[in-house]
Amino acid sequence: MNIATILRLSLKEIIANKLRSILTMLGVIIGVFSIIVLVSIGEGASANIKKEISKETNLIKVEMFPNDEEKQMDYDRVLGFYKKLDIKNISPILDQQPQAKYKKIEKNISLKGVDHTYGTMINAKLKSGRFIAALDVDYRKKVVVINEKAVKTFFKDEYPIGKDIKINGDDYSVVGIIANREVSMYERLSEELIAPITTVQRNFGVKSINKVHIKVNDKEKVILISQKIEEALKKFYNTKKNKVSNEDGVDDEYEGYQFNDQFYVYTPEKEMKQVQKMTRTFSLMLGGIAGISLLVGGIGIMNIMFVSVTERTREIGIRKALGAQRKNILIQFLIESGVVSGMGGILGIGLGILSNFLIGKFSPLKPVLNIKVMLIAFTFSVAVGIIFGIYPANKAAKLKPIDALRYE
Amino acid sequence: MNKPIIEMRDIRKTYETGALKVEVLKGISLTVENGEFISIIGASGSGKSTLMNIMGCLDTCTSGEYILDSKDINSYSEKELATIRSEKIGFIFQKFNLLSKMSAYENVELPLLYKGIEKKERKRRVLESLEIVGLDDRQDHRPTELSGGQQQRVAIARAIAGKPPLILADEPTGNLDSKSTEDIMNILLDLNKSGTPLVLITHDNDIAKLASRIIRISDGQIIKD
Repeated sequence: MNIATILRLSLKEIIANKLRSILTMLGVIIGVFSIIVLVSIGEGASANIKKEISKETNLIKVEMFPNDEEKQMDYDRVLGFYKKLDIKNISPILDQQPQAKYKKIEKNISLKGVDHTYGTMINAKLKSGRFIAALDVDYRKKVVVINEKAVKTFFKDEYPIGKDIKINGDDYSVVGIIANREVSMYERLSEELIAPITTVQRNFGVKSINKVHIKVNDKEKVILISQKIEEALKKFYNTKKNKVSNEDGVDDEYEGYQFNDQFYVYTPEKEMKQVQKMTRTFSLMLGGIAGISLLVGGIGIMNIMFVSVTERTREIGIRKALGAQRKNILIQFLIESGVVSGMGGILGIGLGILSNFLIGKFSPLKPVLNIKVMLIAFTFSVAVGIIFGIYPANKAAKLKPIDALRYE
Repeated sequence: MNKPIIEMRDIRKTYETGALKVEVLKGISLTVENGEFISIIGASGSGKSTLMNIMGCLDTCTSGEYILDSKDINSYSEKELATIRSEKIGFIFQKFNLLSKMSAYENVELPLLYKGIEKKERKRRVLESLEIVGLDDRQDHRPTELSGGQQQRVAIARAIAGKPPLILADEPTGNLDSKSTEDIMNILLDLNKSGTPLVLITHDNDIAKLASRIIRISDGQIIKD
């Protein structure tokens, strides 16, 4: 009995029982659909972050949160600290999360106090207007550069440049608009407002700098310099040696973020590794969810296959009377359950592709679908059908011809 | 030189349901020569269907010896019995037993698929068999689109497509009107004339009389041969 014929017959069987077949497939459809959509969203997000990180391959980011007030660094102290290390191209940042208000719209935003070096440091794409200039910093000008998201939130259809936006009681004049960017993988895209660091310091009554970006011209030296900074910061904060050494006695710090009480030093490499780690964890989790829903789908298939075997007892008897071997019957039912679940898989993939398209169109997420995931999902769904079909198919194959023929 | 197609010696069949033992066949000995047309007649419950099931290797006997086409099949496994059914026997049932989701062509083709006959030859044999029963113009019809008589003719085509050395017919006309009965019997008689041995089970004396030999069964025993 050739496979093509069995396939054709099982397709007929499935089409003849449309509603039942679709209900049977539902578990598999949902399982495969969720794999496709979730994995695509995950892949899309990590691809986006990776793209952002790879743009900044020569950027080291330092964050500081000293326990001791003595150890807080103001603008000049930061500059001096890095000058002593002979590290140029640095950009100190003061981060705040205040509310901003324009007309009746009020919202929590991310405010960055920066100097004139920040724009080139992050490769900010200026959409219109200008960036923060050295004079703005010197004269503590109340000016602000906002990202497109903030434009959308606060100004809607108005032209923002020249308008005043209220932050912590002070009016800041909008001078420039920059493109949105992924800030980091933990932060959602938020309204980003960038002002002169001196203005922010005065407005919030805060002197200490909590972030520094360092640009390294020679990419090869990123790790070396980040180590240098780390050593210096450790010395500065007087933290105990906090190294994790592996068997080779090699410093293991660069496997991920080295947690330290008072500071983090991020390098693109570390961030990339972290993203990969997160992506892996995410994929594993998705695998678990998908596995469970496919399992449930498989049980549904097994259930229906039992019903089908019972309903078709007489058919099995006829086939056996006509010379069918056990294996012919077994293969027929296995193929049928494989086809049911495989079709469920295809429908799930189709639905997944459709909703990826819709998600990409109507939400900020940009799902990325790769063929590998589709193939794996499809193979998995067929396998589930066949595995859960074994028991019912075996029951069918073992029926005695005489009993099966007598069955009414 | 012509060996008998069926040799049965002292075939017994006992059904056990709990403590109750019912002996349905009480020692049947029977020989069917090659090319013969015999009818087995008996009232319902006489054991004639059980006998046919054993002849057709759908069921096994409790004791006795059964030699089919020179093969002692008493010791055969289920797998070997399936092969015997495929190679040696063509069944015709009272209820036609066609697969309702398949066309006439596909129904006739089915035993050939199980026999592993290659496609071109399969097609040739299916068309030839349908022509013999006069349904070559109905090959794409489903059983539900055919009359009872036509369905039974498809079943006959299915039985002869594999060119088995023995055809077993269990009340083939039991569900048909007199016109169709005549057609079916004519086809079967023609088949027999061309050399295929035919065993027909019936409770209808008129049908039984068409055979060259009539075996009457009552209460699990042959009472007249």
